[in-house]
Amino acid sequence: MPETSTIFFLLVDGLIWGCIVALIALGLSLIFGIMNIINMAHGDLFMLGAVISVLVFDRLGSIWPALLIAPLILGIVALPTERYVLRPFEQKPLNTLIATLGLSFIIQQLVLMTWGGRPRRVPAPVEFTVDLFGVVFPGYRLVAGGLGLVLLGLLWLVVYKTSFGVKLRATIDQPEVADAMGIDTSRIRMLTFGLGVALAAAGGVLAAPIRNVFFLMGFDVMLMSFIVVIVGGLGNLLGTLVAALVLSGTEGFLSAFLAPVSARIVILILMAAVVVFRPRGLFSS
Amino acid sequence: MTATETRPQAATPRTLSTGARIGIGAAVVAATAALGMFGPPGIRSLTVLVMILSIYAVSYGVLLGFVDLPSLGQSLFFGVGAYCAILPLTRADWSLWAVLGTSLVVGLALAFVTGTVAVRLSEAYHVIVTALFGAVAQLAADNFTPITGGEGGLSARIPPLRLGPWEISVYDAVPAFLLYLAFAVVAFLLMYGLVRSPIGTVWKAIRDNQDRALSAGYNVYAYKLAAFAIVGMFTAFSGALYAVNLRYTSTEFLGIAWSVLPFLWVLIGGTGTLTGPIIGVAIYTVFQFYVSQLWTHYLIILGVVMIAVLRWAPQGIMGIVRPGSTRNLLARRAAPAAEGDSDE
Repeated sequence: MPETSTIFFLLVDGLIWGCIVALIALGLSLIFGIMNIINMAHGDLFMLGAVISVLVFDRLGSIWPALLIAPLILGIVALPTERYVLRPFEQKPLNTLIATLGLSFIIQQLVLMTWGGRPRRVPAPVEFTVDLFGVVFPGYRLVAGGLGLVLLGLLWLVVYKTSFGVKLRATIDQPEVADAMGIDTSRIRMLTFGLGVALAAAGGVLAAPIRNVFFLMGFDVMLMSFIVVIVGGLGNLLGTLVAALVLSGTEGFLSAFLAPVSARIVILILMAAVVVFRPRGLFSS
Repeated sequence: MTATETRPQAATPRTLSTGARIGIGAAVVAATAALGMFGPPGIRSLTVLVMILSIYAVSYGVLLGFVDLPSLGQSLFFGVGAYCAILPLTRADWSLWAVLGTSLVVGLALAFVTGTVAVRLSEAYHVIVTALFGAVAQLAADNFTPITGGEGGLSARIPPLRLGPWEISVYDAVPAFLLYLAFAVVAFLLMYGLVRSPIGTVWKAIRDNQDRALSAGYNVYAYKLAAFAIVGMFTAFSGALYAVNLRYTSTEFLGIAWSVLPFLWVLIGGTGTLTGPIIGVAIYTVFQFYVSQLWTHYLIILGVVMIAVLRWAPQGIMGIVRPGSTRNLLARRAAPAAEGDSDE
């Protein structure tokens, strides 16, 4: 039986990681909600965000500027990619999946070619520890979790409090009606894809000091994000957020008792149980 | 808006007579056998790969093109099949028949169990859930190295196959070639018979209009599950032969790349045909062999090819050779996706 403090630490750490997973999974869910794109390259955009933060660290000595640079660059590159590469495949999940898997191969190999395959680490930009109920937490993890929450809050503002958000939700709910009402759904799609990519990039920047940065690092986070969107419901933003926090927290909690891989298998079995009873996600109406 | 546009299927292609089909089939088999017996060793070993993987490709062609059950976790069955062949040989004195039989049974059972969860789901969920099964299986296998050997894998000495009075050793190139050819031909004929059987007719009905098949009284779920399980069995068998041919298996065979490949083979060759996947696997194997020698980052080319084929030639090679014989993936009706799923 592990000590209570260990369990507490792993649980909180899981929740913090859940904030970052939520950024990735919400991007996936948004993109699916609007375009029916299953974006297999999403984990690689997370990886690109982390790679950019290492590059920024090497040049400027801090990863903070990357939090602005990475989402901006990748978000802008994403716009024409959606319009000219992915648009013909949209609304057919399988086709988008294969096309984005093609993109995934291209991104991974380009990074391997130019940046090499050796894992890199960046030092945490803040060095302090926090004593929470007698358990010592590395400060950066709390900061990363907090920034993740801030970004989630910003996303909530964008989706629920701006006119863009209204148009976005209208396009998710009733694409034809939205189109007929004069909403430029083509532009909404491009911007939503850009937004989803920017979220993944920001997640990558936040994760860079916590994880090894290398060209295949997107795989693990993709695995978790896909489990999250399946449980939360594809296109269901609130469900995705709840599932990200609950599942990551559960995984952290379980890893106090089990090997990490066994914890992951338990999470997968939970997911399988959910889809047996709620084939469109736990929170579907 | 190109989204919901449905293109009518092209006119039915000229069908070949049964005699012509048998003739072409026999000629292809004879030519392949001759290639194996008299061809140079390099060509022979590439052809062995094509024959073994064609079982995988054709079975995936059935799943995708005849049942419309796109799965991205087939590597689970391929990898498990490979382990079924090698693992018993490293620990016990099993015969080759026994390990191949084990791969069939385990593949069928595993696909049945995972299928009970996966085949009920709509397209997007089905694809992701099957991919997750495969990915987590690889993760688990990588961590249970005492059994699986991890990425380093396991190798075994393959016992000869007893066939009546004969013994065929996989270490003799020509007899082994003919053995793989025989397996590939039998597997192809079984699948060919299956899609032309009454079960296959129901599969095609489900593919073309699931709701209509449902209201006609067919148990769509049971038919899909049967397809998924049978295809899993053939996939595991292909994995077992692949491992026997290499005398080796590793957790790499469980990886997502091995789930993407069958899709690619079927896409290149032509969805909705049984011969297309074989053409696809042949083209891909030759491409992979030569291009990967020239450029280590050939996956970039592969990525571009995937997008380009899907964009400009989704009907595949069979669709170009015999227009109308394949199903155009792009023209498929959009799945009723996020319907009622958005919050609020």
